[in-house]
Amino acid sequence: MPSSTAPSGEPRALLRDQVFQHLFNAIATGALAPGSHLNDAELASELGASKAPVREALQQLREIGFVEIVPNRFTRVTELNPSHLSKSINTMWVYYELAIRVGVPALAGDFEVIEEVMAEMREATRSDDRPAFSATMYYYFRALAEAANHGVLLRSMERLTPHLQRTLAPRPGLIQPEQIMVYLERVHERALAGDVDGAAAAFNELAATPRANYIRSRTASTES
Amino acid sequence: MPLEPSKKAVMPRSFLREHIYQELRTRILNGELQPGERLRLEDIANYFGSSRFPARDALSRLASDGLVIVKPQSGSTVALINVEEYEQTLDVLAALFTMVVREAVPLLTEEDRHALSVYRTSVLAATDPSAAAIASGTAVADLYDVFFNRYGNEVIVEARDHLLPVAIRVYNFIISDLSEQIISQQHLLRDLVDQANAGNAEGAAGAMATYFANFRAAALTIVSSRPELFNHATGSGN
Repeated sequence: MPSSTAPSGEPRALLRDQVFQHLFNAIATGALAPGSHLNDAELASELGASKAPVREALQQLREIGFVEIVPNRFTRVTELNPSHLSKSINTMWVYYELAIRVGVPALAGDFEVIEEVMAEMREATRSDDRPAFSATMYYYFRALAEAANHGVLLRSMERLTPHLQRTLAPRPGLIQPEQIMVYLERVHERALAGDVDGAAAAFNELAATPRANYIRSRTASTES
Repeated sequence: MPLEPSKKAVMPRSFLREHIYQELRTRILNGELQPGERLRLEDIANYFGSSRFPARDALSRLASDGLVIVKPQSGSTVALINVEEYEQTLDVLAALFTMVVREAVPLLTEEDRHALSVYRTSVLAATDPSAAAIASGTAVADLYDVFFNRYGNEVIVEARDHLLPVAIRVYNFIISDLSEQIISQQHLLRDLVDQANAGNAEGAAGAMATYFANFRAAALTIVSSRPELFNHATGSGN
């Protein structure tokens, strides 16, 4: 029976979470490339943990689709699935629009949080920090959902984040942050004016491109 | 109705867990298991002729659907219907359905349009309120599926299916009070079909959004008159 505490004396659940977070970040940022093989014994010694929490962390990563495990053969980082990513973004942006619709009226003149997040988003754009940009864009809409105290929307957004984290990895064909910012500045400006429909319309202009791309990919696959 | 021991199920163990989950889910959604009713692990295991493990698995899945409250010390109960959660669930479903309808219209095939037309002449023409209400509950899903299947985003389908149990459960509790409303709104669904078949994406999405908004208003009025089933406290209820 494996011991429930690691040599360091930390509870196993905590270690598992640390291992999970470490690997999650590495896979999300692309530091661990798709297809990379993972070995629990090597990971355990590298991270100074026993094999049990490493295995549990790998199981959790399997559940969110970050790794695939073939018992007694290999554990490896899953390939990026561009079609699944675009479907996740497509879904998340429905939530973002709803966040505008419920959140902007709920702000009731208190713009402190969204101003703060917007400043971080501008900074991430200036320094071309894509991971920070993606994260702050998510925080912006999450702040709106929080202002409305919309638990179901918040949980729906959270359920999608593991998939979206991997869009942080650089890949060709991404819309650049500065292009996105042109629209988000308008969303923000309308939000500050309390103009719900205007903010939603500005966001939908941004969403139009990925939505049209998605339709194009569907039409291509139906015709083929 | 409490779960009473009955004939033992004979089936491979691998199916048992899924079977218990599906059976309990059905009974919670159709109201046979009432909000607040206790669910004892032993009773469930006895009823299905299983050990406690698959019963516990089924309960934790039901908890993640928001249908059961699991309390490690005091046992599990069927979740009360949380009005705020219901309202918010309708918000998110409305946003997903409206977007899918709008985006799927240009993709509809001849076959899809035919399926929509058949649906329009059968279900949407029904005039007996209770028959139509029941038909709407089950058959409306077929109508929406034409759009969801054609749009082909399984991430949205998964999100929808995660949210539907809460909505279906309330629907089954209030259906008798809701049938007049459903009949009075059928013209919006006919409009949805007509606009979609004419290739008018905005018109179809508009009909969908209005249908949801009207349904929501009517459902919430009925819900507020049935306090015994609902938990009006804020928060997620678990």
